[in-house]
Parts: sequence; C-alpha cells; structure tokens
Amino acid sequence: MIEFQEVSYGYRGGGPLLADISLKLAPGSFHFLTGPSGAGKTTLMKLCYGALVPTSGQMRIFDQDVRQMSRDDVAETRRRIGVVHQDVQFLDHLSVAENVALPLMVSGAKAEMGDLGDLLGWVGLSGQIEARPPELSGGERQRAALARAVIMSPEIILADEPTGNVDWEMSLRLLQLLVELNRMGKTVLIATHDMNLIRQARGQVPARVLRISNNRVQLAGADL
Amino acid sequence: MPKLIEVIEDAQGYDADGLRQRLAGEAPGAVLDDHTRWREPLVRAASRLRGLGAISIVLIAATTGAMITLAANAALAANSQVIHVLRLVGAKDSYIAGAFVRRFTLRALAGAAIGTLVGMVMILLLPSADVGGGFLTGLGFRGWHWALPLAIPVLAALVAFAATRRAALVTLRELS
Repeated sequence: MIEFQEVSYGYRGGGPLLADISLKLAPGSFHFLTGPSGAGKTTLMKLCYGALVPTSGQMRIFDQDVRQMSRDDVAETRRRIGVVHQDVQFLDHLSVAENVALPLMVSGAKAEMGDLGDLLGWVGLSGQIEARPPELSGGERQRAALARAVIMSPEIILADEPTGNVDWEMSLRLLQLLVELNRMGKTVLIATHDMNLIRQARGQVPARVLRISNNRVQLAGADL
Repeated sequence: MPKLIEVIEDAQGYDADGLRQRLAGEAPGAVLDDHTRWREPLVRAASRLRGLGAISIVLIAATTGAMITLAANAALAANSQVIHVLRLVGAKDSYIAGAFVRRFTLRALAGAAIGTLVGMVMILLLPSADVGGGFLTGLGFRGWHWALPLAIPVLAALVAFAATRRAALVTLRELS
C-alpha cells in the first residue's frame, strides 16, 4: 500500500532528516512509529500522505509513484488515507458534525445524518454534534479527528501523536478505536513516543514497532 | 443674388453625380452642396469617439480584472488555513477555486447589473432627439440597441470568473 525504497528527505537548508528508508506498510498491518521528538516521525507521516515528496529514493502510495502524482492525484490519494493530525486541524467556524463530514463534502459525496450520528456515537461524541471545535476538550478533539479520518472508509489510517494531549484513560480509548479499525481490515500507522501505549497494545493486536534513530527507520524487535 | 434650392430626397435617395452633371450642363455655376465637406470631419470624429469608447471598455475590463485578482488574492490569503485543511482532507484545487470563483463572479454580476440598471435609467432621462437645440440630444438607445448594455453584467461576470480562477489556481499551487 505504501512502499519506501531508499527514501531520504531533508528540509531546505538542512541535512537529511530521514535517510535511506526502506519499508512497506502491507494491507491490514498495524505499526507504531517511535523515536525522540524531532526525529522525523511527523515528516515520515507527511511523506505517507503525499504532503512531502522524497528528496531521493522511490516511494509508492497505492502503487503510484509519488513523483508522478499530480495535485489531483494527491487529493484522490488523501481520500483513501485517513489522517489524525498532531494539531488536529479543524475549521473553528464549523460544527463538529460539519468538520467530520468535510472529507465527504469535498469529494462530492452526500453526508447521511444517520451515518454521521452513528460515527460520532462510535467515538463517543453524540452529545457534541453541534458544538464548535474550541468547545471540545483535548480528548474530544482527538476523537473527532479520528471520526473525520475514517468517514471516507479509508484503507489506511495514519495517526500522528493521537494521544499527545490527552490523559491515560483517553489514550486507551483512542487506542481501542484504532485497534477496532485494524480489525476491520484497515492498515494503521501510529506515531507516538508513548512506550506505555505501545505496551498496552500487546495482546490486542499484532503490531510492529518502527523506530527512527539516527535518521533511519529500524524495526524494533519482533511482533509485540 | 444666389438662389438656394432645397433638395429633399425620398427613401430611394438620389444620384448625386448624375445631378451634378446635369447642373453643369443646364445651369453653369450652380453647385450641388450635399454637406459632405463639413460632415466628413464630424463622421471621422464620431468614428474616433467610437474607437475610444471601445478602448475604454477594454481598459475598464482590464482594470476590473486586476482589481478582482487583487481582491481574490487577499481573500485566498485570509483563508489560507481553511484551504490548508481542505487540501488535507482531499479537496482538489478545482473544488477550492470553485468556491472563490462562484463568490466573486456572482458579486461582479450583481454589481455590474445594478450599475447597468442605474446607467440605463440615466440615459432614459436624457433629452430626446426631438427636443431641438440641445447639445446632448439623441444620445439614448433606440429599439434593440437597448439590449446592448445588458452585455455589461455578462462581460463583468466573465472577467471576474477568469481573473478569480487564474488567481485561485496560481495561489493554491503556492499555498500547499
């Protein structure tokens, strides 16, 4: 689904942040991506949804070479990849329901209020359908972001530090939701530096841990 | 004493060259003056005025396009966060540009329609051609010519559409 072949990436004016990365996210797999702050976890996530193009190497998303993708191709690809962003990225003038339905709206699909209600119920936000994003707590915002990420029924879910600003109980709830999605056949990649969260996943899902260290991605041990 | 004879032509007009030849033969010294001498400079001036009018329309259209481009760029910059989020959730450039294009095109259409309506009322209020002696007489439209100003809102909308679409697509490529 997503394949890196000796991919390197560096921001302008700096050295390579990620170097010679080769990895493959297979359909239905569950991966954690760890590493210290600034190691390049968010950068690798951005490469995965086409927000960045590798400086060198070859990268394919859904069998498409990212260098050959037009802007419309990138937009189409993002409809197949649900992303929970680190900073959530909501439009504050829209309600939670409207924010969650944004991917449907921009793709020309019709949002069924019943389905939308079911989805918000699944993430525990039935009571906040008409609320504005600034009225939500950190955990509620993350769950709303997860609802928006999955509303298009994407094949891949990318979550960048989804538990970064929430308490442990909410972290477990979010992890549970992501595990449920994986059991539905979705490919999941979670960037986190929370090792407790990774340990918690033990027994629930056959996850692999990728660690970014010295600009490279290493597979940290066997399956959890 | 010179004699002045008024020639009133009918709907079929008259043969000026033939008349001149007959006058030369039958009344030497008689001159047929069909006002061409003093009318030609006026016709030339009128043609130039018409040309200047056309250039003015082009200049107004270009200025409108430039103003709309600036306004669209400002609107796009002010909404950069919205655009960023829309791109993240899979919006194509044509979708985002369409929202701006629709807004600016409708505004230009409405503004030009109001302006055109006011202008047509003002022209309607000008003195008519049958009021003698006035300088600004007979400047109004007659018959189907009243339909010509209706092209102004359409033209304004087309200019707004093209200017906004171009500005939006260029800016979107730079923004995300």
